[in-house]
Amino acid sequence: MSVVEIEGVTKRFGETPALEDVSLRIEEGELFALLGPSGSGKTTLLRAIAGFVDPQIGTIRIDGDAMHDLPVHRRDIGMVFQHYALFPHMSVFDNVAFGLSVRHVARSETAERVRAMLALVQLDGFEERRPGQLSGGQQQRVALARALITRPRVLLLDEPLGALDKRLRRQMQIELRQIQREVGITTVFVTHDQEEALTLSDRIAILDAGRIVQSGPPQAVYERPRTVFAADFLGDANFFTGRPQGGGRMLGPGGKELLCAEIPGDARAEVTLAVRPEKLRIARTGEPASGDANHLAGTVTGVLYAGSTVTYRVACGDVEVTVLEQNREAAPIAQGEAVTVSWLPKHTVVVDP
Amino acid sequence: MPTARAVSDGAQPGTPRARRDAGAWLAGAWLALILGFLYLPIAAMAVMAFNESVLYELPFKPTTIWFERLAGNERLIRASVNSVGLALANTVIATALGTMAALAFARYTFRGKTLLRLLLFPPITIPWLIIGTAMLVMFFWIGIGRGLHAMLLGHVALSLPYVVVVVGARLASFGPALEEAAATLGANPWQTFRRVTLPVLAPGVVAAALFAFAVSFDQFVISYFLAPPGVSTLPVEIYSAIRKGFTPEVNAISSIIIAISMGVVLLFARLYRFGGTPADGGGR
Repeated sequence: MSVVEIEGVTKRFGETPALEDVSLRIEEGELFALLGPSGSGKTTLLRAIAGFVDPQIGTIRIDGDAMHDLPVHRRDIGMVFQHYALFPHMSVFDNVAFGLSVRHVARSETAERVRAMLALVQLDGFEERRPGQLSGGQQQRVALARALITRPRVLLLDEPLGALDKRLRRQMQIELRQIQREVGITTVFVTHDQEEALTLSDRIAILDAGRIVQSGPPQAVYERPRTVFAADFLGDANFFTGRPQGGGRMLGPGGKELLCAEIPGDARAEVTLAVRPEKLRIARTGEPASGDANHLAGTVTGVLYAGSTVTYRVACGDVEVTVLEQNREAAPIAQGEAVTVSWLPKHTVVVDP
Repeated sequence: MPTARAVSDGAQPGTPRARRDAGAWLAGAWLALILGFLYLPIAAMAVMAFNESVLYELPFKPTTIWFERLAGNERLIRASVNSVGLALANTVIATALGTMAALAFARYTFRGKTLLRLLLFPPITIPWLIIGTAMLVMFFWIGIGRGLHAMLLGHVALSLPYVVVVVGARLASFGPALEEAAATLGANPWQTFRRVTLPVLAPGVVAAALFAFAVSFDQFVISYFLAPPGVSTLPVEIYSAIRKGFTPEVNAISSIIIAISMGVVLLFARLYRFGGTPADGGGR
C-alpha cells in the first residue's frame, strides 16, 4: 500500500514554477530519495509533504488521508532538518521527549520511550547534555530520535547528512539505513549527493526544474537512464549523437558505426547514446583490443590518477570520451598515447535529449 | 603590569611580542580613561551623597542625613513613584507590543512590510525635543491632553522601536527551523510559541524590556512637556530641584537610582552571560 501518494502537484512561487505536475507513490517501509540539483524542486516537494508548502494544484495523501488544509502539526510526520534544528534551550532528553510532551503522554511512559529511542541511536547517557555540547554526528542522532519517537506515519529527511564531513557521513549513512530498517518507517529524503541516493535508497526520483525526470530503483535508474540529464546527474556518462542507420546502428564520431539494439530504425531524427565511463575499456593501439563490438580510436588527452582508479580523457575525433579503469596495470597509459576505446552494445543506452 | 612582564619574560623592545604587549597596555589605558570619564562624576556624586557639606566642601564628613531628608521629601518620593510606575507600565506594554511587531516582521510577509520596517528607525534619531513638541500639539489637538496617560502613550511610542530592533536581532539569530521542527513534532502554534519561540527569544525580550524601562525612566523632555501641573517624574523633579538650588538630596536619590540600575544590569549579565545564550546550538 502506498503510504504517500502525490498526484499532479504543481506549485509556483510567483511566476517561477517550483513543482510542475509531480506524481509519486511511496510504498510502505520504503526509503525513497528525491535527488536533484539545487532549485530542482526536491526540497519544495518534501516541504509540501510536510505541509510547509501549499500546492496550488494536485493532492497529497498520507495513508489515504488527503493532506489538503491539514496544518503541519496534525499531519503526524517526523522530520529531520538540514541543520537539525534542535531546541538549544532543552536537554537531549527534553528534545527527544518534545513530541510526546505536546501530546500529553504520561511521564513514566515518556521516560521509557525516550530511553529506548536514545538506545536505538546509541546515545544512552547523553540525556542531560545540551545540543551545544554535542558533536555534529551526535546532534544528527538526537534529531533522528526526536523525529522517530512519535512513531510518525512518514519520516522526512532534508539533506540530513549535508552538514557532516565525509567520513562521518559514510558512517551515518549506514546507521541511518539500519535504523530505518529496524523501525520499518516509510522515509522520504532529499539529497543532492548521487552516491548517497544510490547507496541508501530503495527507489530514487530525479528532479529537474520542478519535474520528475525519472524514478525507479537505483540500479534501474543508473543502468537505464532515460534522459541526458538523468544520465549526467546520477553518475557520469559519455554521450554520442548521430543519425540512425537501421538495424540498431548509428553513425558515430568519425563516421564510425556504433551498435545498440535500442536504436530506432527511423532515420529522420538524431539519437543520443549514453555509456558509463566504467563500461568503457581502453587499450594501447597495437595491443590486443577487447573485441567489444563498439570501438573508437583516439588519443589520450588527460590522465587522472586516483589510486584505486584511473580516469582517462580520450579525444576520439571531435568527441571527448571519459574512461574509468580499475588501476590494475603497473604503469597507466600516458598522455598522448594512441588508444582504442571499446564497449559492449548492451551497455549502451538511448537517451532523450 | 604588562610592560614589566614583557621585560621579565626577556622580550627585547621592538620585538613583535614587546610591541604586542605595549599595544595591549595602551588599549587598556585608553579604556581606563574612557571609563574614568564615565564613572568619575558618578563616583564623586555618590561620595558627596554621604558628605555633610552642602557645598561639596572637604574634608569629607560622613553622614546619612541626606538620605534621611530624602525620606521626608514628599515631592521627590511622589515623583519617584510616578517614574517607577510609568516605567514599569511602559516596559510591559512596549515589550509586549514590540515583541509582537518583531515576530510579525521576522516570520510573516505582508503588504508594506519594508516601508513599515524603514519607518521604525527615524524616531530613534529625531531629537526628543521635536518629538515631544509634536506630541504635545497632537495630544491637545485630538483631546488626549496632558497627564500620566499621555506620558505613558509617549513613552511607549518612543521605546517601541528599541524593542522591535533588539527582539528582532535575537529572532534573526535563529531561523524559522526551530518553530518548523516543533510543528512537525505535533506542537500547535501556541505550544510552539510558548515552549520554543519564547524561551529561545527570552534573552532578547529581557534586554528589550531593560531598554524600554531605561528609555522611560530616563525620559525628561517628553515627560516635562506632557506632565500636567502638580505631576512630575524623577528627572523632571531633579531638574526643577537643581534650578531652585542644588542640595545633596539629589545626590542621594541619584545614588540610589544608580545602585538599582547597575544591580539590574549585572543580574541580567549574570543570567545570560552577556550576549545571550547560543541560539544555534553552537558550542560553549
